[in-house]
Order: sequence, then C-alpha cells, then structure tokens
Amino acid sequence: MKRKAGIDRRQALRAAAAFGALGSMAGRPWALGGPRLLAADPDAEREGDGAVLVLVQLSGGNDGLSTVVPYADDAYHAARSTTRIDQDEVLPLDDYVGLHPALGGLRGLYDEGRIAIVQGCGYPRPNRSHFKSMEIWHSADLRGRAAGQGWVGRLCTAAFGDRTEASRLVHIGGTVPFSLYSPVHGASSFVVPEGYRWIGKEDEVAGYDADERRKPSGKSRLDFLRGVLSDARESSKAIRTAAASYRPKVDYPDDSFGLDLRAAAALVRGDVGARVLSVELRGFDTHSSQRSPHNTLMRRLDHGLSAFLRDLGSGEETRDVVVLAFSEFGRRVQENGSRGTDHGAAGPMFVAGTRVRGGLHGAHPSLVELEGGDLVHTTDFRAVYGAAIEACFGVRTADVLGAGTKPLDLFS
Amino acid sequence: MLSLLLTPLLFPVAAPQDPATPEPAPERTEPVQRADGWNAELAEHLLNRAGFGARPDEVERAVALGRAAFVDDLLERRVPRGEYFFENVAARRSERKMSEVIEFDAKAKREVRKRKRRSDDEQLSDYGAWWIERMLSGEDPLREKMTLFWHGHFATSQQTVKNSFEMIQQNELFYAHALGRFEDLLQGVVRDPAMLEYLDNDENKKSSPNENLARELMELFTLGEGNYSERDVQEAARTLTGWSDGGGKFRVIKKRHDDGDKTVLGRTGPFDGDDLVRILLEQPACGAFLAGKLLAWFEGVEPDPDRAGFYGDFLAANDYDVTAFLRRLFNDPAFYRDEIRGNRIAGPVEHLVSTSRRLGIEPPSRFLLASGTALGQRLFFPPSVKGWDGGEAWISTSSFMQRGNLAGVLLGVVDVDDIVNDYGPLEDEAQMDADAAPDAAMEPAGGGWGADPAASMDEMGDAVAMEDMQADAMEPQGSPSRKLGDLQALKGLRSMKWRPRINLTTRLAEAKKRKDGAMVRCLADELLALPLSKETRDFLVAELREKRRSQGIKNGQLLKKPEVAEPILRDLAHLMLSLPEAQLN
Repeated sequence: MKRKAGIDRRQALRAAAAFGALGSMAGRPWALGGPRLLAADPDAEREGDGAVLVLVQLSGGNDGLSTVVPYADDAYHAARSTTRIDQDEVLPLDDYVGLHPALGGLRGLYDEGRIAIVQGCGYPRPNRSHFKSMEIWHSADLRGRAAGQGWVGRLCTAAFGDRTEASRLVHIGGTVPFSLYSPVHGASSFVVPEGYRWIGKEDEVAGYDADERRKPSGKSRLDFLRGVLSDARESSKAIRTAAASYRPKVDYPDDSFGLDLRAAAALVRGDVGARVLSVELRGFDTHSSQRSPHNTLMRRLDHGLSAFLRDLGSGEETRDVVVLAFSEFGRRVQENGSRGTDHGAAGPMFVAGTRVRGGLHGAHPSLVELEGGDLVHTTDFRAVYGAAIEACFGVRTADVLGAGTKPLDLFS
Repeated sequence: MLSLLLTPLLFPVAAPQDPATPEPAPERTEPVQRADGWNAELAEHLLNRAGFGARPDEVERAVALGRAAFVDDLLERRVPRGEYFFENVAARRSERKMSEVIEFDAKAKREVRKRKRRSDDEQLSDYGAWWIERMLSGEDPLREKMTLFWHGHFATSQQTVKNSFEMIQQNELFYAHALGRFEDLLQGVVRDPAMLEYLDNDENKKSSPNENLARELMELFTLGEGNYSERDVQEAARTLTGWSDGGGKFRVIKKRHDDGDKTVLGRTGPFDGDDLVRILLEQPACGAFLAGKLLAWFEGVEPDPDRAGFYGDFLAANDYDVTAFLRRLFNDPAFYRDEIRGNRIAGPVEHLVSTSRRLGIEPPSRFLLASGTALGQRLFFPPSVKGWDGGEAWISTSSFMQRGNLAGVLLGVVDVDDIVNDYGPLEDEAQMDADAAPDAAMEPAGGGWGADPAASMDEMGDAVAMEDMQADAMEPQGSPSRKLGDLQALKGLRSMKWRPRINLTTRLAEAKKRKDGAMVRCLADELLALPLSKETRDFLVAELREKRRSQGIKNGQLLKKPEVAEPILRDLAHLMLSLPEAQLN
C-alpha cells in the first residue's frame, strides 16, 4: 500500500512547507521555535514495538477537588458548600481522598490495579487562561505555542525521526489539538470514521498525489495542503476498514465521548498504525451552578472510559494501550458566589493501562497553604508525560521534554 | 484567476484599457495594467479578501473604477441589510409554558424545556441562513465580511447563551459597527446581553467578583497576553460588577456595583465599564493587537511586529476607525505582494459562499450553514471565546476531504445522503470479514426524524435544533443521533430536493473554449482564486482527455454533445474543487 516515492515526496513537501513557514510567517508564535526537521535518530524505535497512547482531554478546566475529593479535609468542607461531595457519597480511595460518586466504573478498574491517579499535577506559575494553559499542556513547555510544536510532535521526531506515517497520529473530533502539531508528522482526524473519505474522487486525487513532476510551489499554504492530501488519502482507507469491521466486546455509551472511544478502540484493534489517539470530553468550563453539569460530565467520563478499558486490555491487541487523562487546570479552592468555581490550578491526572502501577501517586496538594487562593501543584505534569513516553515509545524523556524532567515511576 | 485575456469573451463589454499599455500577445496571460499597476489579478485579490469570491463582472467593474475609487466604493457602499424580525422566544416560552406544567413531573418539564430550546434554536438557524444569503448576494460584501470577523473576535456561543434573541441582537451590533470606530463597538460589547451571559458577567458582583469578562476583554479583545497583570484583571472585574442583563436588555444593578476606587493598568479612580474601555484603548498594546488581528484576517499570515506596529499606530492615530484602517490597507502595495496573494486558506463559510458565487449557483442558505458546521465553522457556536483558530487549523485530513464532497453537492454530482449515510465502497469489503450484522449503533439513520425520506426543507431547523440539545452538556440524555457530530447538521438536508441551475457546457461554448486545454483553463479561471501551476493544469487536462476519450469523442468535439459533456465537465469541476488549489484565496 505504501509507495516509497510518494512518502518521500510528501516529506519533501512538508519540509518545504515548514521552511516556507519560517520565511512567511515569521510573526507566527509557533514558528519561532523552529521545526526540528529531519533529525533522523538511528536508534529510534522500530515500528513493531511499543504501546498506543490515548490522550483524553477534559476541556474547560475540570474541578479536581470534585473528581478526586479530599473528603476528610476540614478545609475542603469549609471552602465548598454547594459543590461539596460528602463522606457518605464519595467512593473512598484511602482515608483522605475518594472518587466522585459517578466514577464507579473507574473505581472498579482502580481496584484491579489498572489505574494510577497522580494527584496535584500542574506546572510553575500557573496560567488561568484556558487557552494559554491548554497550550502549555499541549506543548509541555511553559512558553506554550511559542515552543514551536506540540509535545507529541516532538515525541514523534524523537521516536521516528522523519519517517512519517499518515495514520500514526489520529484525533477523533473536529479540531486537532496543538499537542499533535508537528511540521513533519501530520495528524489525521475525523468526527465519524465512516465519513472519512472522498466521494467518487479517490482515484483521481490519488493521481494528483502521485504526480512526480510537481515541485514545491513556493506558496507555504499550498504545500501544506498537498501534504494533507497525501495523508488523507493514505489514512482514509485504513481507518474506514478498521471501524466498519469492528465488533467491540462491551457496549459503549451512546454519547459522543463513548462513540469516539469506540472508534479509538477500533483503530487499536484494527492495527491501522495509530500510535497516538486523541479524544476530547468538553464542557468542563462550569462557573455557576456547577454541581449538576459536573455530575453529568463525571458520568460520561466514567461510562466511556471504563467501557474502553474493559473492551481493550485483554491482551489480544497487537499493542498495549496506555490512557492519559488530563485537564488544563483545576479550580479555585473557594467557591465563587454563583454555586460554582473559577479557574484555578493543579488537578489530578488519570493514567490507565495493563502495565501501570495502580494506585495513588504524588501528594495531594494542601488545601490550606495556597498561592493566590489556588492549590500548589505537587507533581509537574511533564513527569507524567515522561512516564508515558518511556512506557509507550521507549524514548528517553529528556529527548522530548528536555533534561529538566524526570519521569514518574508509573509503569512496571 | 481571471485574466483579461478572457474578458472580451466573457463580458458583453470589453474592459477599458489604458491606451499607453500595449495589447498583450494572445498566447500570453500577462494582465493588462493601469497606470497605477491596478489590474484584474489584483482586483480579484482584493475582492477575495474583502468579500466573498470574485465574479467576472465584479472584477471588471473593480478594474474599471481603479483601485482607490473601488476601495472607497467597498467601504462606503451601504446597501440596507434589511430588517430581520426576531423575537425573544426563550423568554416568552419559558413564562407561559413552564407555568402550565408546574404541576407535572420533572420529565414533563424537561420536555417543555426541550421544545422551547428547539424553537429558540430554529430562530437562530433561520437568522444564520439569512445572514449567509446576505453574503451570497454580494451587495455589501465588506460589511458582511467584517461582521464575520467580529463574530470571531468577540466569539460568543449560543451553546452557553441559549437565547437566540440575544445572539441575533449581538450580530446586529457587529453589523452596525462593522466598519466604524472600535471604541463604539467595544462600548456596545460590554453592554451586550449575549456577551454578559456568555462570560458570566451577570454573576459579577461586588460581594463576589467574577473575572471572566474582564480577563477576556484584556487577553482576547484588546491587549493580548502579557500586556496586563493578574492584579489588573481583578481590578478590571470590579469595574464591571453589576453590569448585567435582563429580558434581552442591558441593565446596571446598582447594589451589585462596586463604587470604590480601582487601579487598572496604572490608572486609579471609581471606574465603571465605560472607563475600563477607555483605559484599554489608551494602552499602546491595543492598537498593535487589533491591527495584528485584522492584518492576519485579511492577509492570511501573521504580520511581522513592524507591520503590526505601524498599523497599530495608524489605528490609534485615527481614533480606531476601521474604515480608515481598511482604506489604508487596501491601498497599500504590500497588501498585494506575492507572498500574500493566493496563500490564504479560506474559512469554511467564506469558502462555501465564494465557491457558490463563482459557480453562479444559489444553493439553499440552510445547506451552506450546515456545510459550514460540517467543515468546522458553525456560525453562532464558535468553539471557545477565542473564536476559530483559522488558517491551517481549518484543514484536517477529514475537513479537506469533506470540502471536496460538499463541492460535489454544489455541482449536483454528490448526494448529501452519500456524505452522512454510509460507509462507502469499503462497506462490502468489511462485511466479508464481519461475523455479525452491521451494528445498529453505527447506523447513522437511526435517529428517527432524520430517517424520514419525506423530510422537507421546513424540517431543517429541527435538525439543527435537535443537535444543539444533544450537544448540550447540561442535558444528560444522550441520543444516538448525536454521534454524527458536526455532520449532524447536514443530516436534516438528506432529502434536499435542490439541484444547481448550472450549465458548464453552455458557459464554455459561449466562451468558445472547446479543446481540453482551453476548457480546463477557463474553468480554473472562473472557479479558483489562484492560477494553476503547469503541472496541475496538465494533470487536469489529462483527466479530462481520458473522460472524453472513454466516450469516443475527439478533442474539440465534446461540447457538441451536451448530454455527455455536462456530466464530464461537472466531474472535472468537482475534481478541481477537491484539490488543494481550491481551498486558497
């Protein structure tokens, strides 16, 4: 299926587009860092090894204190009146924290040792803007987009050099997150797998793509679009085949998060070459009357993610699966006056997989010693990324996130 | 790209030419230039960026007027948009219907809420379709283009606001000030009920300030990250305490307002929202920030700091008058530089409207509204307060393919059903491996209302409304039909009876373009915003040649058999519009 010549040409186009970007988009923040192009690593991982990393983004700033609840802390009771989850409701993990009552499915998996919860994840000098903070999580760099590319993009360069693969990075949803952005490794994306195709134009577009005479156009955007066309052509067929033939072992919830995870499972089981999958659960930007919508979101998270983890992880897959769930920040400790909470800092991350060291990791942040009303993070989220990078890709954390990050010991 | 070489063939009246300019050699496409360098290529560039695509007659007129006069014409044209009637559906329904069911259980109440939400969303969809009709008309393109810009700049979503009356009112505000002074617009925005709701300022009280609006005012609307402190945000929030709304109108709730002194960006006083707007506009960062956003929108690339700085100073010196800014920009040779022309990815709504106008068709505006959603731009539902990212973010592998598919619908060669309704040719392949019947959960038609083959255009509003409810995080009741995501909106159009009134055969015959190469060149000129490279043109000519030969027709003879020619030409146009070149302007 792969035509060597086509792949090489696509790389050339992407490279041209990236270099063009440097010239024509000098002011573009993410161009400033410059792409790390074509730095093929001879020791880079072989395609045959490693796990699939599934990123679950909880968009809008999930209230961590209502997710992993410090139910035994008096300060929690004092700060939270309308969003508080009391001891008789919580699903206790130890004598200090417990899970939100809607997270029963995940609690079961936790008890089986398949989920690690890393408490108090954040980064220094937290930013309370959704966009800026999400950029920081996406780039794993305090400069945000100015870092030049997403952390998964850098990971791909470290793991695969310039060897691109159209379906390696797949976002299931409308807009590809910046974490998957790389000037070399393009991400595929779709809302539903069955619509992921050209109608009646597949062969002709293939002819355009295969035209060996075409040279870089000198227009950065045109070269970019030509690279996308190549990626779309390759991944369309692989992904639709995998999704259409998929028969999951469990029922998935019929909401979009559940169906996105079902599609993700199909790509894992169908072995389309995906190594990083990304899904999103939206709606966490709750500022007022938070309790009810947050309950709904917890239920969706629980039902979708536990179905996914039950469906996979039986050892029948070609590759292991590691799930990493995160949000751009937590909420202030003190409720606001609208029965909700405002943007804060630090929150829990969930890491799941068959080889994960289950249980609680990291220290819960103090609810008393705050910074500007916010929790102080106890674990840098990049240490969690580092653990996933090494477990899934066999790449050294330092090669992706810099020497300053020491990976957390989350996998056996 | 329309060259003047074609003009005499396409227009009843030949374009005026500068007598000093020699007639171009017939085999060359070098455009005729006026004394100031103004020509069809540059005029088309301006029309693409300042409006929604360029039709041959519009290019001709722009060239004839000359650059400065045409820019003035764009800026000063004021074709009345028409009064759109809209009512406060949400308020009216909630009072009456809720009181009727006050005795009933929670489920009945939920049903009533859904119905209310549905008719509210219907009104907004109607309005969105009407707005797209305004864009299609091309009567006042720049004002509508700027209204679209402000919608992205002051992004506000019905998802949160849940009140079409307020959303429509906000759009009319953007339209009224689209080309006016930024200060007037900003004063309107901090009083705008939809914005106050969207960014929680109705919850911003002296006793418990809510920073949301204050922060976004600084970060996204006027200054940009890094030009204010956390302290400034907190103090700015105090200036806006009590600025709230009710019944679709702005109101200040005095007892919630903090009358005390605030210190914002170095200024101290008992400020309110209007003072805050003035303080923000005084900041040196404001001009460059707004200029940068306008330049990126119109030029398609982020400006370098010098260019943003220059235009920022210009804005500040000209009272933030958008008309003055655009007059300066559209007369700036740098706006027409090579690096800019044909190097901007058209946003979905702009792309769909422009393509329709270039084809000379009038598709149902509901279809374009739903198509914009499918391509990632759902009007009145921007993804976040940051608006749409734009540029390369518009293009994913899937949206790229979907642009081609939707172009097929516009050309009448693809059914909407094909886009939303099946797995395509791979289904059979997959079925051979499958040991079970197709999973009901993956059947897109399972949603009920969308499966009715008799669904009419009238029901499209329902389709859009249904989706909103299902997408709503506040409504835990999921429904199977939600899974189509952004394609959902198209589903209501499955049985759309519309077919384009288009005749490419006649169009080419009248232009006397009969040979493969000439036909490709002419269609590309009319349908695309930029000239094709030789390789791409050769590729298209080869495709056309193959289709023609498969029908046993000699080169130059195709147009003599319209019943054969038209499907082939539409197929060719479909391919053309599926290529990277068609996504740019």
